[in-house]
Amino acid sequence: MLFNSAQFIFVFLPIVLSVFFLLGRLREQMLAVMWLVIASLVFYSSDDPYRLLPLILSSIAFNFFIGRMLLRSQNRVLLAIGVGGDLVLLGYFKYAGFLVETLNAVTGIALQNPNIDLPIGISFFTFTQIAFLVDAYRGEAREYEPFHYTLFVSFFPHLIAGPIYHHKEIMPQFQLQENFRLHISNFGLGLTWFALGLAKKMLFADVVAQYATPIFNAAAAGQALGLVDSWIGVCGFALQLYYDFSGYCDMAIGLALMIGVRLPLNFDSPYKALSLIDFWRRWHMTLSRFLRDYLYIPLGGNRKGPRRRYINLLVTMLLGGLWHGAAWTFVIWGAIHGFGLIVNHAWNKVAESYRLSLPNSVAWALTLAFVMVAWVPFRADSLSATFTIWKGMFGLHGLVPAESVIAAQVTTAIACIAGLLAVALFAPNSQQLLSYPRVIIAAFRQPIRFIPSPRWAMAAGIVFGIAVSFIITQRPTEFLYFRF
Amino acid sequence: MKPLIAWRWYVALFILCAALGILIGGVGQMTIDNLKCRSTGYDNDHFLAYCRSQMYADYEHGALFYGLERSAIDSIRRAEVLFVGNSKAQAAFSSKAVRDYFNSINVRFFVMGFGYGDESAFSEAILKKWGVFPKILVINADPFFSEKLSPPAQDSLEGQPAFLWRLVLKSLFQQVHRTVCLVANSVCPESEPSIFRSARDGQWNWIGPYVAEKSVPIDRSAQTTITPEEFAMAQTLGEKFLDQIGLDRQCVVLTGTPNSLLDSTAIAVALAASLKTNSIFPPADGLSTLDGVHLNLASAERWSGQFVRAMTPILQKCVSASAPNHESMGGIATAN
Repeated sequence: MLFNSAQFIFVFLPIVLSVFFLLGRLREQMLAVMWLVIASLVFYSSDDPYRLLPLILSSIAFNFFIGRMLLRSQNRVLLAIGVGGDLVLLGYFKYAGFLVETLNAVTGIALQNPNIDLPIGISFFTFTQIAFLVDAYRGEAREYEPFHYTLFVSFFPHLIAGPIYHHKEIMPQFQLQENFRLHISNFGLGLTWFALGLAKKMLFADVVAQYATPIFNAAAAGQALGLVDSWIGVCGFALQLYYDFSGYCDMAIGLALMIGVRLPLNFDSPYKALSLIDFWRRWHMTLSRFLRDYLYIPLGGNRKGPRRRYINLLVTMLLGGLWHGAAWTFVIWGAIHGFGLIVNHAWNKVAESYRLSLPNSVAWALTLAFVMVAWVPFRADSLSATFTIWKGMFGLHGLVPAESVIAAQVTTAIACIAGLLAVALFAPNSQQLLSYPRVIIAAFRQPIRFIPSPRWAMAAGIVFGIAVSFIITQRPTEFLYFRF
Repeated sequence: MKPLIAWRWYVALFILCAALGILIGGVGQMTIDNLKCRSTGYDNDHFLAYCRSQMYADYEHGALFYGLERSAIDSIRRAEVLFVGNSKAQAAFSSKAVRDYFNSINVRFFVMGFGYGDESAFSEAILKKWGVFPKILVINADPFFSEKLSPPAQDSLEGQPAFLWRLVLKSLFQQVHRTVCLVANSVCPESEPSIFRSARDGQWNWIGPYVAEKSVPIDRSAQTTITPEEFAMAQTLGEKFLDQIGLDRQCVVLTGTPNSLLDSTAIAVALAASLKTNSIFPPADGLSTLDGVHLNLASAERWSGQFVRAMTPILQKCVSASAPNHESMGGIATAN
């Protein structure tokens, strides 16, 4: 089920919230938790219950029992079994086909591709549970009831595309009695977060996608692209991805907030970053945190000298790339970012030694250009499509070739991209715009401060309504991160 | 204001404005998608029945079934003479001759044919829904009596929420479209052919806004007819239809609008004989069509003028209001 569907907004959500708060009012806390579990499982498996339900339930049961044993005896072998089991599951569903294809290409043998459909959200719920097992091994998790654990994994606002959260930051919230009662302030604020996210998805991401998608499709079909088309495609996709995923995260935060649960933030205006290191502190923050805490630091982090640090960075980013998808294009994307981070760290060291510094505008432009170029393999269907677009971006196919993909729409595409880029760069982001309790945000100017005023209610309500009208009249589109 | 009260007001106002936003967003999208529809046919009597723009297409089926055009429904219910049939009937009876004739004798009429080839099933649904009891029913029976439903008729009868929502938006869009194109004509490309329908008498205004007047002579040599099975089915459905209408069969007039594809006259003659209804067949010599199927404007004026004049004795018998008796009936075949 999609957050941006009429079925979710008008049927699922009102029923789930009404029953949850009713049970909370009757002080049936455990029943309310069970209700949320059932609702989350329905939300997750509604498209393919016979396949998805056994998959997620067996994964939850496996990790719950391993985690429970780890909490009692912090056994390294048990941790290896648990993490290994999770990786085998993820590997089977996500990487088996990729592995077979690669083996066939390298060795010339002809193994049959298993063509396994990727179960939705598997990367997210597997990572969430790996983090739980490691936390349990480290003694940083507590033992909970099976239903609480199931809710921790399957909680519908985060289940399909994150944010990836820690056991310790969510589980206590499921036990707070006050969260089982309707707090109109939480509900109102959650509604506003949800409205903002829905608007990002429906009015920004899906609109700019109509310029980016044909260009990447043309590249996949082998059409040579001019400089203008290529840059429109790449900039369009960069904005589509940002508004799509940050919109999803805003909706997730809003939904959780309606029932008093605070999810971690996932975006902090990444295109305002002044370096690649800064970018990764602002983009998909919970994945960066996961990769840092459960991969980069266990590999040795920066504790074993600069050379080892660079290797660790590269390995972390390569695996981060592969986490996004089983294809060489994602490996290349990870490698580009890995090398970029190495150069960034090396530059920092040189700059520190020689007291050098780049003007902010230059640093920002370099970072944004680098990120844009790197988005190409992330989006392109193949390596050849990637190189086609890169060639186009560097003008190797001319400015505007005879067959422009979006010739008739160039002006509107540029206007749309410029407008959305301006919003991403100059407007306050969601957490700056709306207050978010218990989250300390780095110092920033807050030009517009959210208060529950009639003006805010009218603005947010109308924006929400317009976004919903798009849902009603068009078929809802999937979020890009659902495929990871 | 205390914080709690402020939040309650906030949520209430949010929901209210969200509902407004849904409407604004929907009409806004409908306007962007369909601004290219021709706007030249709007007036206080005419609504946009159809536009070739994919995002608008048909409106009249749903609008008449759900009563979105209230004055059209009132006109249907008040009509003493009701014309039903497909788009051939609409083309034939959407004429000044018909309007002038009924105005001159002060008899209310409504031309309730539909595009997309709709026949009796949808007309019957509308008659039932709005409790319509005309005094005379004119049927373009070639063969008309059929269970067939076009996609817009099917959608109307099913009444799915998405269809109803789009129908409401189409209704609201017309107000915006008419105003925008009146105030800022340069933003309206007027590129998509449109059909406007009179809410007062149901006539189409389509020669011009939808199709240019043409003259394709009727070629009888190419005409076909329906199979015996289809005829038998039409007979059965016709009996059922007319029984449900409950009208004296002498006040039911069958006809067949001339065209090149189908020998409509022969079908209607046979059906009228079988159903024991009245029938009128003005001469078809020298008539022309737009496309081989629909009468062009000049032929519609001539043919329908002769048709309504031939209705005079039936009007005298079936409509209580006095009808003229001085009209010539020369050269027109009538039967009962």
